[in-house]
Amino acid sequence: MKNTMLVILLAALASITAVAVESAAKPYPLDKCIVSDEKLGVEGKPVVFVHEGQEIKLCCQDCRKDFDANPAKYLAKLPKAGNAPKSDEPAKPKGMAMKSCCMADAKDGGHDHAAMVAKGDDKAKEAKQTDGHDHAAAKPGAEAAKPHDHEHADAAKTEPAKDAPAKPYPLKTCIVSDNDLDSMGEQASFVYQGQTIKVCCKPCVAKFEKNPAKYLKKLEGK
Amino acid sequence: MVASVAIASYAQACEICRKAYFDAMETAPKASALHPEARVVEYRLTIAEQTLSPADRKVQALTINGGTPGPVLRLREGDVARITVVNGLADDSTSIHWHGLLVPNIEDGVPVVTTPVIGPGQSRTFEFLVRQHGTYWYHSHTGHQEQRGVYGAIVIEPKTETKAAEHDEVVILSDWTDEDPRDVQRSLLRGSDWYSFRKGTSQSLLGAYQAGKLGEYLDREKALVPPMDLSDVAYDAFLMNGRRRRELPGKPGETVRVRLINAGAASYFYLDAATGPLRIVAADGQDVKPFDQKRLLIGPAETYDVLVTVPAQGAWELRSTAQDGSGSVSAWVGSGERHEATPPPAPDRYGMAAYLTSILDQIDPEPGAKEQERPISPYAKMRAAQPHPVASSHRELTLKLTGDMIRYEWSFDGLDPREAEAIKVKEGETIRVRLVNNTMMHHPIHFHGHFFRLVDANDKDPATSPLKHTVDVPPMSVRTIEFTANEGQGDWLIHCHLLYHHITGMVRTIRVTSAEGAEPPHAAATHSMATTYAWGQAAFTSASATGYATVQSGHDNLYVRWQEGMRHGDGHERELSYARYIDMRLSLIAGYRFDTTDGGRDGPFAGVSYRLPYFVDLGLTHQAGGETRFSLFKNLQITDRLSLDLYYQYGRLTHAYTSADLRYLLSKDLSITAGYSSDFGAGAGILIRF
Repeated sequence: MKNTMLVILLAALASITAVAVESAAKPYPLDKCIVSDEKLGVEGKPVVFVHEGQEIKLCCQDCRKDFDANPAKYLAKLPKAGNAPKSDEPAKPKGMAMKSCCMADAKDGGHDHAAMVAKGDDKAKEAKQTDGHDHAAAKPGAEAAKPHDHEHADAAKTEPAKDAPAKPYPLKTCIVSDNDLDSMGEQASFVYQGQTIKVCCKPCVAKFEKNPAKYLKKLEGK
Repeated sequence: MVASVAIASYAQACEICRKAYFDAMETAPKASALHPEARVVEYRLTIAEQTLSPADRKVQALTINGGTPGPVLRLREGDVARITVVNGLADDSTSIHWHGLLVPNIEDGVPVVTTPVIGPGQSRTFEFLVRQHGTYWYHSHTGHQEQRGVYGAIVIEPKTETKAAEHDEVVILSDWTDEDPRDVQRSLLRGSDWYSFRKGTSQSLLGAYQAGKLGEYLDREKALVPPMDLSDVAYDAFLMNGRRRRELPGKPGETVRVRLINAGAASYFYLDAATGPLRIVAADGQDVKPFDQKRLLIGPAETYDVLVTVPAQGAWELRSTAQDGSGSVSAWVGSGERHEATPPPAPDRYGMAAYLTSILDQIDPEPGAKEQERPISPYAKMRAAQPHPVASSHRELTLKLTGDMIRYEWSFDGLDPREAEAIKVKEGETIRVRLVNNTMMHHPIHFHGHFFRLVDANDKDPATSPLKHTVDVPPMSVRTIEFTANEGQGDWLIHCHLLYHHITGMVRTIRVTSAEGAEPPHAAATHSMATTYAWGQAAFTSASATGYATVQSGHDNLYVRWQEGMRHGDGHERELSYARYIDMRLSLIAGYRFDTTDGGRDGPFAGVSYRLPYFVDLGLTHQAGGETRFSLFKNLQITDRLSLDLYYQYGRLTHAYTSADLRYLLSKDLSITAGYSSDFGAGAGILIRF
């Protein structure tokens, strides 16, 4: 019994200290997750912690792994003193318009990026893209939405569209494996730097991410 | 049906032209007349049926000169080989194909396509100039004979002796089943779970949940992607030179050239040596710049020459493990204390995404990538030992490797080979073929009578790209091959060397015409070995007797279905129908139904069957007299043994009918079943597959 009381006391002490430290930290200046750029609160209660005196907020626990793996990469997204970011500009300067998280866990412990790609309603999306009206498709939030994640998808669609409409994907084959797009059932699709990209299966998304330039060559002249 | 009959009669008419063509080819001067200076080496191979026990149990096997494998045919480059094949079978024709050998078209040995059939009691003498050296093999190209034992090794010494090893040993790998391979084919066609259950590779909801892969499992089911399958058949034994164990003699310090041949009908193997990495010096008979490979994946029909140095003391294992982990066979080098090789890690049966990732990472490696624990074929490391000519221009074709795992139907471009036209190539033309594997299995693709080079877009020295006769195309990947049609006019097969895939239709004929495009008058045969198979199942329970039987040929099925209640006054429903398979989702159906259940009637009906996501089968039929039916069927695999069949049907006149049946797998042919149906009530009994 004594031991239990001691443990409780120590735990209480530890949490008070933590709070005290956190409250002394620099406040987090963004309204989105520093890893996924997703609006905080969409995936539930944000994950808050202090990293070297800087308060950090993440949309979910999964992003913590990514952050811990390379804090410097994400800390670079923080604006320098006095420069508050505009909330409608992604903190990330360029790259995948599909980075998200909080979906199914990939085997390697990282994020299952493929799970974030829009599928299911792909045909509708493709139709929209070809007539150039699916502005939301080029937005990070829209791509992050799972088809059944209505709340999430709607939130993204209501954001004002700033980007140019994504270019339609010109091939019938996967940009990574060269296989037919429908050979593994539902294909995965996402927008990379304004270009719609389609792959045959989830593992090809991760492969694309490692070296987009290499695979984008396949679209040259198409 | 009409089309099939028309094709059949056209083909029959063509037989006269084909026979005339064969007669002309057979009377033309043979190699010994064309090359009178060459040494003639003669062999006689007699194929017969006899009782053997490769996996302990005595079964009927096929032998060559009294054993399996057949004798090693030892030749030297520049010889004329004269090999007489004698058919000692009582009631089956036979054939021998010289796998990887450059031979005149008529000597290629594919019955009907290139070479006259060798009927029971007949023989044929093959004659060809030996224009190459290296490790090759021969096997029957008729039905399932290769699986039953008709195969052997060919070793060809170079013209001028090059001594890389003190001596060489042939290690010919194979897979053995005590079942009649025709029954194996039937089991695969009917969609039996038995083989994957026996091998411990079945997938179930509970298994996926326990493996933490339920999400991936459901995603896969939703997308109608069948479970990943590294091998279709559960074998009773894996063999080296027809035995379950082999000693490789060698004195300490001696280098042995191990001539590895994968004669497995449906098995890939991983090779591991306790002595360290394998030193590979030749692949598919062609010399390559020597390189080391820790673990070697060898596909069916491929050959590799590896150098193994006999250690100073002890017996060292050369282990060959089936890719699906279902068994292994080993050779021991040297004698004394045993040193075992490290087997490959077991495959993760639910790890399809991880497996595909691993393949992608190997086909297209990141800089500095290490050899994986379960590597794909080491083509990326392979360079031809001597430069070869590379054509400056080529024509590009795409062959898609396609299949419906559920129906067990494999093809190129989704076409039935009997309905697909031959690919025409002019003599001298260079063709680049992109082999696009749209399936979830590996396929070893073999092209007859030629070597092709493996094309790699980033290859800085195409003149030393590897030359092969068989290439493994891993799941969801692409291999590009290039060949020049300079081995003579005629019909040459390209096919998957997984025997059970070849038989269902993963085969195509490449017809090499004259340079001007002139071709022989007979239509190119497709060498489809597809025949007609029949199977069925019947459940007898305390409430009802239900079942079906079908006869299948190509895309056509005839069905008989029945459903009878056991209680007095229960009605019955019987159907006789014809179904035409359109694609993996859609089938058309028409037939006659006898229905004495409530609201039922007798009369013809027609409709469609459509596969929905999650492998839910939707049926829609309309019967004369106003009965329109809608049905849904789903099979849930709960555990490896236990499954649940759910069925719902609504008819305009017969109204709702539901049933739920649990099946517990006992053996290949028997399950226990218990269930409930709204017409017949609850019952329990047995289910027999026949």
